[in-house]
Amino acid sequence: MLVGDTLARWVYENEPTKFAAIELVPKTSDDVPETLGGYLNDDGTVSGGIPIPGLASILSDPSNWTDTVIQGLDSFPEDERPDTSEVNTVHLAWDVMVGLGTLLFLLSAWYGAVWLFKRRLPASKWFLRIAAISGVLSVIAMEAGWVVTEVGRQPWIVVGEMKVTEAATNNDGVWVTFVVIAALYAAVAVTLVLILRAMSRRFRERGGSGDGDDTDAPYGPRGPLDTPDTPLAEVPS
Amino acid sequence: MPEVIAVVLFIGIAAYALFGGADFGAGFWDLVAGGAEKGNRPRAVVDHSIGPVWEANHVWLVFILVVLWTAFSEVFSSVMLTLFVPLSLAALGIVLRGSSFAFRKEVFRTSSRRNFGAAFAISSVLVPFCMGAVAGAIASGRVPKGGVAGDTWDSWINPTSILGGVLAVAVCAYLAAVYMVWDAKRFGDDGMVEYFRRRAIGAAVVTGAVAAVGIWVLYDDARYVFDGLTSRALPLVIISAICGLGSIALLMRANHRGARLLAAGAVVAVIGGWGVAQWPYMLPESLKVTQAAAPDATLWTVLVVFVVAAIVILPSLGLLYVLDQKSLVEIEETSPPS
Repeated sequence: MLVGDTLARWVYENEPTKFAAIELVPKTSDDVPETLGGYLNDDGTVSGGIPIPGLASILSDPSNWTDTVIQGLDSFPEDERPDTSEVNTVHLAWDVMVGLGTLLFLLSAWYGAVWLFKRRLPASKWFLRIAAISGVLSVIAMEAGWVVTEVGRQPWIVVGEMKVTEAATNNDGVWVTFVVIAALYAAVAVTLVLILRAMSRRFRERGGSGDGDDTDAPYGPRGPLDTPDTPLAEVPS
Repeated sequence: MPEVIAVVLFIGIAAYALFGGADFGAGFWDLVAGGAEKGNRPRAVVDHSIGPVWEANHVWLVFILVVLWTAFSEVFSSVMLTLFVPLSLAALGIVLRGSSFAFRKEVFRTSSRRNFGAAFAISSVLVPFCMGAVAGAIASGRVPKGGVAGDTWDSWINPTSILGGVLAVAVCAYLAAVYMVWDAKRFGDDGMVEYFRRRAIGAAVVTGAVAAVGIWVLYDDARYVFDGLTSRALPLVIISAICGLGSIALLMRANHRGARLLAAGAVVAVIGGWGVAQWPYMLPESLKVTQAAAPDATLWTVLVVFVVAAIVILPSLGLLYVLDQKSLVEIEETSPPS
């Protein structure tokens, strides 16, 4: 959270266009609310979302409190800032990243609190459910972060120096290459899932026997799995 | 300064050829090992030999690309725009190769193993061919300067590129066979020592023959490089030939360790020879190394990063290779082939 806060302030100071997209700020002003959700319309108004008064200004520079001025999208030429749909993508991705980050932080806090007071794992099924998907959530949060930084940079590839259209190849065959690469990665991904499932099936079927008749298959069952005698949820406090 | 970075670039190319090349070559021997029954033992050696260093050697490719685009960005964009077909094929082959090799270990049915094995082995031949074709395109002056695209097809389907591709595949197979003689020995399979020893000698002879024919191809199709190879790069050509012949002689006398060193020497000398032959050009006869280079500040940064990376990465890579050679990184206890 500390790192995120520091980096967001760095963006505020160095990439004001991206910051305006992140915070959904159409017009330069002070006392800017932190809008959760919501979207930008083509006419430069913001619809929906839950505004928290003044918070974006406070976070951008706490020393000036709500007087901190945030540059709005209108202070940049139209061809040097992200368009409406890009702004909405950036803002949504930002909300997803910060939201998931906060959720994961609360999950750790939950674990920490239970450990501190009861010296055991949280017994709640909901803790285990969220913990089980927390790996996926952290990847989604990371990808959302990439969307923020890359889409928020549009239309530049090197901010202030070179636009994406200037950098992109003018060769034919971009689509062919793209489709072939996407197809190959999709095939590899599907194969990976199938193989992981087959490995898991082997573990289930023969995991306990340790008969060692598949020594030829690495990562196959080798012997009894080292499982605890008592399921975690029933560990006595 | 540009000269120093060009040498750094060629060090990367030589390392990729020596280490990555051996990986690709192992795939070549996997491909020609025959049916499931007959090919079982050689394939076990291949698995055993490249498993522990699986995909590690592509760091050299990443290194080459990064140095090229940072220090010689005009050359990078010309090469990428002109040669995107063989380069994309190579990239796809690398992905397919790495994943198939890993997947093959996890499946049981012979038919699935055969499919993954084929994907692994065919892409192992495709990738070095494409890389060699790219080198041929550059050497024969078919990549224009100025960060613009040359001909999409003729640039890499031409005599020098085909020579480069075939030579690259032959060199990979040669290196891999020489390395795997030793691997089979560590693996304790004397039959396979003999198997790969014979193939190493065969591959050495074929590689030499391709190189000899190649001289005439270059005379016709890449005159500048031919002139370079027969003048300022001649010492390197001679060293390469001596090393190659020496490695054959040592293989015949079953001095496997010496054969390894000489084989590596032969390959490094050929790559160095290519660089010296097209000197002072980065893209022969249109763009000189000094013209293509980035400003000094950038080159110094690249050099510093290279030195730091060398200090940080080389010991760990070295340790990986040493442990691998001493059979201390066992991914899995594989039962010896029966």
